[in-house]
Amino acid sequence: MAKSSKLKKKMDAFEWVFYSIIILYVISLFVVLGFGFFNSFKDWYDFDLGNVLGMPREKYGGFTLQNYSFIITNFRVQVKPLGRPPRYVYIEEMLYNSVAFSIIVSLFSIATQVMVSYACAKYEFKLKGLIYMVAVIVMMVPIVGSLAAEMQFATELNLKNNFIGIAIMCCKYPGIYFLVFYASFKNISSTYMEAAEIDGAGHLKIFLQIMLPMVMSSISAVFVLQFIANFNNYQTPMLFAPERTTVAYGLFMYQSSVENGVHTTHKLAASIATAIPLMILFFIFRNKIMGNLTMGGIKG
Amino acid sequence: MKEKEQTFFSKLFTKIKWAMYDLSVKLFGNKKTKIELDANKSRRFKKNLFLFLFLLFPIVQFIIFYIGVNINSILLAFKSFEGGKWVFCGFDNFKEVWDDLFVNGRLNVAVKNSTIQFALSFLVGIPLHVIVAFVMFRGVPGSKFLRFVLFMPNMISSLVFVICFRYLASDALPLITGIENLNILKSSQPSSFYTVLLFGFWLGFAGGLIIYLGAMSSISTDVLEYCELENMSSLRLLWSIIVPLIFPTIITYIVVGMAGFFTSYGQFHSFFGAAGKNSAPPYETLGYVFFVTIARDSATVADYPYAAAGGLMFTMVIAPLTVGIKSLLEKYGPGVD
Repeated sequence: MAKSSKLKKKMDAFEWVFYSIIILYVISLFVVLGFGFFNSFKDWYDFDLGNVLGMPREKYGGFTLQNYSFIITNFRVQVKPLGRPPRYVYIEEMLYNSVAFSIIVSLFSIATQVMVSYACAKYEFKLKGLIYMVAVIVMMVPIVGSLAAEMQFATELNLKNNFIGIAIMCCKYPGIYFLVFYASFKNISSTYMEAAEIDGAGHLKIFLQIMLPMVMSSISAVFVLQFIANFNNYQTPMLFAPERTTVAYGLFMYQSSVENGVHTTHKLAASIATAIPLMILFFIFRNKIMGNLTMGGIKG
Repeated sequence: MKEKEQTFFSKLFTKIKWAMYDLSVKLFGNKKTKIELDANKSRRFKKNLFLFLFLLFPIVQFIIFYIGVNINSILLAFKSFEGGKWVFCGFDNFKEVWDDLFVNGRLNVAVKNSTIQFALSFLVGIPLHVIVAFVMFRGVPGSKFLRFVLFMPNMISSLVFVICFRYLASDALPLITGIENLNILKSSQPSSFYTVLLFGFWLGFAGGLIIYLGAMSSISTDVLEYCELENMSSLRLLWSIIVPLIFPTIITYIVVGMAGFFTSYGQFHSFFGAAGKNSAPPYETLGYVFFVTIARDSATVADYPYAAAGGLMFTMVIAPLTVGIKSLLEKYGPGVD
């Protein structure tokens, strides 16, 4: 950015037009989120009586945390495990499932990509060209509609409702991050490896203690991005782990809940509450995410 | 003194050692000893063992869950589930999809909606994403904050936006417009398609921001300084310099987005869930139809072959098309003079 700001002198009409559009867009984002945020602090009765756009009215308790305390005890969805009676999953369990799902799936996915990219970038072996070519072809040539076969595989291999099973199923090495890690390893001089080898270090030791720490900043940035994407992914848990409801899947179900006593303000509070942990995570790692991937391997 | 002596003797010893080595090479050539050969063999074995163990899991995973799944998908397309058993049914599933597409018109709405969605994302979406990234790259006032906010929709679950927007549209919009019965998200009305389509477009306003910024920041400063000295307008800079230089990245987006014609279901599932079988809602796209065929609560394994056949047919269209368009873009795309 320093590069561009140094060069920047004056904005012309073209930039002003799109700058204004961006500002309007940012305002619209805040309007939508602000609508949810302010109404989540309103008493549901106040909202249902038509106070949709105004501030919470004092006669109904003003700003209140009632909706949030309600969802702690009542944000729940019913699951129907096979061969067992239906049961409710509450927010604590959803949160636990979300964190477990996101960590396991992200770790498996990153591990396979790092391993293959490292081998391809740093070693000479017969299958190297084929492995790299397959990665590029898989990314380039779309194969659509394999979901049915995946579902059948998951059922027959008993991988459903098992996060490790789902992670194993989803962690194929071809992907954009394979190329990112490949570029990162390629950029590291091989003399480090050779020096370590002369000193008697084995291949695994070289990988774990020398090469891996050098690309750790890229790996951690990708991990945060993947963690967030998996945390927000409601479709994979919906299809492959319906009995282990995650927060995202729970929110998807909860938005259409017609359960007695659940009002719009509760649903808004549930949605805002699920956004807050990720916003904090993003705020903490913003420089790592934006900086590493901007400066790192994903370049034209 | 003692140290000095030691250094002197060790230097002398090293010199003698190398002199002996040179002599042996002159006399016998650079033949490796048996010990050296054994050491090499052992090193190679260790390397191969490491690579084998290192790549075993990723390769087996890929063979089972990519190649195996896709082979299974092909087989599934030729089967049907009758009386609790899988039976070979020839091209029946393909015929059913073909009829739905071109004969009985069951998928007419889905094809129309997919075309509109695809056109919007390609003709408006991709250029807009490049322009937004370009404006951010130029370092407009508050660009650091704006980048953070623009990236927010990637961080917060789309469901959060879906829920907030749903109630904004249903409860606040009638109050703002003064139209009491306004319901732009009514699932039985065609307006639901356009509302959710625009919502999805709005949510993806700054799509690819990080990637495009990354590509732009790899452009040489000399080139940008030259443009600055030439007093080049922003539009010219974008069109003549930035776009050609980041064109490989744009091609990647185009290539990845091609399959979206058949697979994208935008935010329709988030808003409306899975519609019932044969219900043909006005917002359905091809991606939505084939997704909910598998994802709806009432779906059974008997529904899988139809989806697999549809997927196979679409792949046969989109795969060569994607590769062709990629090569065409690479050949005839903009270049820098």
